[in-house]
Amino acid sequence: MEKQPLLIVRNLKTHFVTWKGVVKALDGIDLEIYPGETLGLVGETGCGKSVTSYSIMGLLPPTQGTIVEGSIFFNGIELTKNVGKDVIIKYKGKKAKIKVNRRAYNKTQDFLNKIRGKEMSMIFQEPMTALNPVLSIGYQLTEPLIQHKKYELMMRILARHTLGDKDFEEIKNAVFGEEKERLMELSKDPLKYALIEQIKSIYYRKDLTSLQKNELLNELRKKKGISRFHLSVYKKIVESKYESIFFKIPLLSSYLMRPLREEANKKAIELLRMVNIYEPESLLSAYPHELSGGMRQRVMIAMALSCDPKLLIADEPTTALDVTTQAQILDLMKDLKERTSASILFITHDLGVIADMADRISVMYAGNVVENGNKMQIFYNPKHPYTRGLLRSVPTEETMKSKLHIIPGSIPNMIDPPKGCKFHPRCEFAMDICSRERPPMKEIEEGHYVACWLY
Amino acid sequence: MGNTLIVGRGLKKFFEIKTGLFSRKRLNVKAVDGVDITINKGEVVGLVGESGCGKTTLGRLILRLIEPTDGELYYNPSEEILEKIKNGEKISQDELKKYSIFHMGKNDVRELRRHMQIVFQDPYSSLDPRYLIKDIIAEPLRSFGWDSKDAYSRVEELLKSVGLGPEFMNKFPHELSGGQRQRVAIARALALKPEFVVLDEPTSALDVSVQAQVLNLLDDLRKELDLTMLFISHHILVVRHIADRIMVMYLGKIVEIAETKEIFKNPLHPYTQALLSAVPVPDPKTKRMKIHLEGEVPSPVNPPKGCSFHTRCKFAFEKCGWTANELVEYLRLVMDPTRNEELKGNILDEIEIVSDTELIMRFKELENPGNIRGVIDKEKINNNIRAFYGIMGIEVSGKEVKIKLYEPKVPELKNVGNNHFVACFLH
Repeated sequence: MEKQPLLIVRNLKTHFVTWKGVVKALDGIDLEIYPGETLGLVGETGCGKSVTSYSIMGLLPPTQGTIVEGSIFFNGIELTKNVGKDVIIKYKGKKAKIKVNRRAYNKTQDFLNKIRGKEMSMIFQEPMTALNPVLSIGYQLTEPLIQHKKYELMMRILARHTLGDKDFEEIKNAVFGEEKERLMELSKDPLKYALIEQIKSIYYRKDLTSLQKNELLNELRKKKGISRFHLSVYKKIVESKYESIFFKIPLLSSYLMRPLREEANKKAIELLRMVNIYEPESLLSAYPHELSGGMRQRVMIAMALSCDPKLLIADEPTTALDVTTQAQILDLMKDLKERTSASILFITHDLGVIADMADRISVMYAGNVVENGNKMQIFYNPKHPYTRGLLRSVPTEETMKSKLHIIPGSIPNMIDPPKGCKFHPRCEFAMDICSRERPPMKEIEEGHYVACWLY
Repeated sequence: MGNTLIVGRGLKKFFEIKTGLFSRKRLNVKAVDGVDITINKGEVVGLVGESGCGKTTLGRLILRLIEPTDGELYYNPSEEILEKIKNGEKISQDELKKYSIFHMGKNDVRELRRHMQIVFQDPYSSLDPRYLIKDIIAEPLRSFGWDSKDAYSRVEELLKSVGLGPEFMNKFPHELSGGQRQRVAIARALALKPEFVVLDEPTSALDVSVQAQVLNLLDDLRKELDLTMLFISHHILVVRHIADRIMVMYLGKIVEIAETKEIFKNPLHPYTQALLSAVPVPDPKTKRMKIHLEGEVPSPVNPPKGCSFHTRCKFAFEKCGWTANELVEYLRLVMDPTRNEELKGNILDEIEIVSDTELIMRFKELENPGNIRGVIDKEKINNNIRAFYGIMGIEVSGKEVKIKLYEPKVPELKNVGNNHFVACFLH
């Protein structure tokens, strides 16, 4: 069965303007991510891994760099419509200047804001710098929910207050009896589905006794703390989907938002529990500096998953962590991927981590993808000289007490990269043609592509 | 002259933290908490552990870059001293002043630093950005009285030995890549022809391919100059590549020492096992059994009693050092009659912690006191609540149930043969 890729990147070029000249950080890369798969992106520092993720998310700093060519399609929508209109690089000989057309740029950002955080989200490398130090964890976790998931939050409230005791008992028994088919059937009704989610989150708590769980369920059943006005307005909004009108009236909107904020807090607690944090209630009012590195990264993951994204970009999510914490986080990500069936773009320089996580791997060198294939092809049958060198330079059991393989030289200057294949100055098999022409991507086995003149 | 280069006994370093402006309470971060260390000549010793376990502090302590809280450290000790340490005899104050690095005067330590050097983790911050490369490397030479001309010719020599050409002499650090900077840092450490070098995570800021270059360089230099090295790293595969012997550190204590091959073949301490199993191997076919460590590393301000690893250990049993504090939450959970029907009619009021090894549960109503023991045993096995292994006895008197625990004991490093030392009650 031919699957449609979720994300397609075609000939993407991202350039940065510095006073020394234009840095060609990405020089025409192609990527595809299919639904439900994990694509590993490996490469060394400065090869453009992170720039790729920033380009996809549209998070490039507009005064420094921009996409100059190429296209990104996410779920059939083109994200790069405004390329060459919002941020323009003007060349003057070798030097260049960057100009931002604010109006066009804001338009692009408005457009992306509807997708970012909701359908694709990102886990950053440094959880300390990615979380805002002056805002509480609770605030930061609920922000995307309030931004993107008003409708779902209203459904949750309505489900609790409009469904009768009979429905409640039925759902409770189905969840606690783990009757999967029954649940599937019940969740077709959006109201019931919203309730199932809430009861499930109580059921899967490991830190509570059955008594405490029952207490929480009773709490859930109590119909209080919300006025009839709220309920009726929510009902109208949910039925007619006129959300935007009600929430644009100044005083009314803040009045309507209050119960939603509380509801978002509840949802945030459920999310934190999903990433195996015990006693999440107390964490909501904590600030990032009070947490350890592993906890912060868990919060980041919870935040990224809060709106059930289709694509999760993980930019070196475990590089700042210890091995034991790293193992915990990686297993958590695998587990969550199975549960939510999101696609992951997993960026790392650690070949060990990629061997563990990825289904397919793309190897990057100096702003180009030089090889891509599935995990087995890359690890057991690497073709590109750079991939081979990279794999052989990792210390393993066989290399103990002997020399490691070395790739001579260092990564090229990206302002004036070598002509032809960018790897040729460091390549042991370099031929004449390598310094003249850029090698095209060539399929050498099924699904295994290499950009090298050797093949 | 013996074969031993460095001997340390009972090394301790506590960092004091202030709790408040007027607070009398002083808290100590026990970064290094009683470490014995022996390094032989020509040997590469790897020191591994998670961040915050005190690896770096230990490395700096050995060079006395930070003042120790306690302990003795000898550099190149005489047979006489070694004998005394071995037999546990007391070493006189005069001898300590003469031989122990921690008791020496400042000038003597300075003299010793000629032989002991360090390479720091981050090559981006360990080189002065306003100095030329040649001045950075010549700095240690100058401070030991070399004149400029000799120093610069030595710098050229050194640059060559770390694989950099003389054109680097007149560059600034910012013009160099990470790998080149780390080479400069290594050249600086080797300037005075030291015998002993501490390498504090020398490759963790570098890429894999650059890391390979630096590791090969270190290997060459070691053979050429007959260096002794302490290689500190959290990257276990790198340590395996270069070290002869590996020490594993957890919360300021050494938990296992063995030769590299031995430790990878036969890790004995549960922490070492978990650590090794968590290392991602760049080979998709190897499916290792991952041993998961629950929770986080405890705070070094108040490390767990007994074996400091027992809170996360899968095998922790009676004498590993359970304290009353750790049991309270579990007891509250288990004594709930809705969880365990045998306890119907028992209503728990409060739990009082009398001491580390004793606690009292007060019940409002106690109808089934006989079942308490059975429930605890059942939960211990069914739900693997390891803390209950620490219970020595349960006494019922009236509506009070007294629970006594085993005295916490600290496991000591024990030789289990084959020069394999492990600090664990299991062995």
